[in-house]
Amino acid sequence: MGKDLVLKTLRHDTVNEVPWVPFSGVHAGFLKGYTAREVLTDGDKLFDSLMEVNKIYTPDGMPIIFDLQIEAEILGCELLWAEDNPPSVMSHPYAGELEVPCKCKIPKATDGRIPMVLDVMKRVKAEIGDNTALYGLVCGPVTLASHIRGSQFFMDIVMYPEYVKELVGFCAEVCNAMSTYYIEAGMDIIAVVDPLISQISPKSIESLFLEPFQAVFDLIKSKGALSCFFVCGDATPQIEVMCRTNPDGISIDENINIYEAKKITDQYNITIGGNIPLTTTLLFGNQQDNMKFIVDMLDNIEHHNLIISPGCDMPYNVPIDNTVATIQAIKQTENVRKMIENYEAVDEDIPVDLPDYETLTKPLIEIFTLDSATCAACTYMVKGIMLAEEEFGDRVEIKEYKYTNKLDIARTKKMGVKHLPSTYINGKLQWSSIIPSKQELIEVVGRCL
Amino acid sequence: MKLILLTGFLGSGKTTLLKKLLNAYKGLKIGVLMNEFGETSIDGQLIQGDDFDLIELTNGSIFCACLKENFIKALAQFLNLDLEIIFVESSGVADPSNMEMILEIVTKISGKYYDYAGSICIVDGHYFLKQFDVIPAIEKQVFYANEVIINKADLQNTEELEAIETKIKEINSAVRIFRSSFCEVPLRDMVSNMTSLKLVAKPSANTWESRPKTNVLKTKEVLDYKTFERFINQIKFSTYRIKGFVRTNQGIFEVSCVNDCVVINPWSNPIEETEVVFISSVGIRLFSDLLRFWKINFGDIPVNI
Repeated sequence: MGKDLVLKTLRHDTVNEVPWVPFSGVHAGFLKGYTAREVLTDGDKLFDSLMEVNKIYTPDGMPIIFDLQIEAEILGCELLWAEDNPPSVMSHPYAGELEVPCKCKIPKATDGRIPMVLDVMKRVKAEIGDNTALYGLVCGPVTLASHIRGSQFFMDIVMYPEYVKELVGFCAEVCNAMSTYYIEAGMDIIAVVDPLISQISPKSIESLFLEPFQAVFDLIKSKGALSCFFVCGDATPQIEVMCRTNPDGISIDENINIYEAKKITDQYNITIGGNIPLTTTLLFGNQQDNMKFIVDMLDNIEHHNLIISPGCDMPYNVPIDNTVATIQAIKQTENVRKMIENYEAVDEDIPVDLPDYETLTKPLIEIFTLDSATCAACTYMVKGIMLAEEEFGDRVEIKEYKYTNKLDIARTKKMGVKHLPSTYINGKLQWSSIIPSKQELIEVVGRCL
Repeated sequence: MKLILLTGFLGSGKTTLLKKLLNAYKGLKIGVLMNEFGETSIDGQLIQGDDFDLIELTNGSIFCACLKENFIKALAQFLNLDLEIIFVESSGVADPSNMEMILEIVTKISGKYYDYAGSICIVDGHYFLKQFDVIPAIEKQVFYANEVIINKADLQNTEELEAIETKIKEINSAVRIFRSSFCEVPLRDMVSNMTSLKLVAKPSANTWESRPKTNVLKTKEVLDYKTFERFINQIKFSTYRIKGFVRTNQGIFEVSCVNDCVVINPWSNPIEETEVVFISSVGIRLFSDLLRFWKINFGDIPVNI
């Protein structure tokens, strides 16, 4: 049974299959013809969509809702809604003075969209909960702190570490409240989704965030559920400190080399999940690309303590065929191996002209992202870099290239960008997967003027 | 209607002082408003009696935005009762800077006003100098006080007591200072001499730096007394304050702990379950520490934290 497979894997028992957990967030709506906004706000449409995911994708485990903005919205952030993406945070209610929200602001089970989510959780649990492991996703404390504080948060880490500790402590209490509601609604696993962790140095995580994360995972375990730490972006340097927060599992995206990361998670006996490339393979690849990725992965990695998942929330309009091909490759690996024996992936040759960086009239800042509208790490990288525009006005030029369209993908490849999000100045890599503080940004850009 | 505010950091002796005041003013019509920082009211149980009106406000500070409205309503409610004197016991981390502003609003909404005598601040003779450096609210409590009681003076040597007095005078030169143990001071005399200082209302600093995390531990199981004592002596290093009631195989006890000083006394009233509030000195880590020490001492005995 799929559910047992996931639970046993997260408990580090030996199993004879690798579990499959598709993160069909807004993509669940795509299966039923609902928009992203509809499935994130309408309980009946969300429930229908999840039943469809269960039917078509036969998952061993699945999340109920993938929206890191639920808590932020309750705490007063304004959201910008999209029809094919989760909403993004537009305003930061604690952007002003150094202030930590009062404990009375911790979301209650009756606030915002929580009642809708809890209702769907209970219905899905009753319908398929015996056979499918259910994931409740909460916004991680560091990402939540950036949501409510804004991009200043990165400056705070440098300037006011004690404040940051208090703020993230509050956000960890929010996680604890949300985890409790979700566990009581029947969730088997709580995933603490904190994409921003990949943008913060391991040293700062160690000194400021280790204890809040440990408290969050301790609470989940004390309530009898299993726990996962989801990250996006290149968290290669952070994997070790993430292990020391003591989750049962860690889930990563394609920015991390899963083979190397698993060596570390294995030392801590933590299950690793990942990392089907969201855009290049799932969205823009074909069925063979997806099959090949899975077969290659299964051939090159030890299966114990492993879950196969997309790197993060699946793009809205991933072709259903691609996901189906993925499932086939996971569940019938031997047959699929034969099918793709002679398949060679072909790179589309899209011509891209790079600027002549030597003859620019003003500094050119190029930000390469997965998509600043959907990936929180990218959102805050772009917001962080845009502070240069505030400071220098039109004396600098800033551009964002997203890994969601083929032209930008071709440009990203031609530039040789290894990790997303990354920022280049005048064609040279400046910040790879680390968001600079305002002070550092202004110093570096100022030198280029 | 006379109004007196009692301030002081966690564990300094506010509830003890309140008990003494209730005793000293026996016969008068008294109202009591208690404010605790934790989710559960322990102090309300400690002063129980039927000869005064009691309103309890928990889970925050009455001076912080979240409870200020309830505080104002409660004060207005007392004004409509036939009472002579009101004591407000504020939470240990309360910053009373905006008391004047609050009283102005109370007058506005009720049409009546208090004779605000001012505040009595209790400082912990044993720990004051240590606490002062880390808890900004303590300075505010002393600054806005009319009277300061240095409690637990018997636990401190003369030099330290003098250093505490010097520190208090630096913050508030007009204040009267009493040294005491168990809040033994001439209360009626002290209160009758209190005159409200003219305070300039300003926003309270009850913000991020003055909000310790709290956890409440509950269990229906009867615990082994010795094991519980060991547990408290381990977890105390992660707290500023512990208070509550525990059901053990040797009976029911009241537990009270300030920093590393633990007092466990027999309690004669029945309780439904063990319920202990912990106020953290280590931020959110307290939760992990509680679970860890519980596991070490009590294994799989069910507990709700």
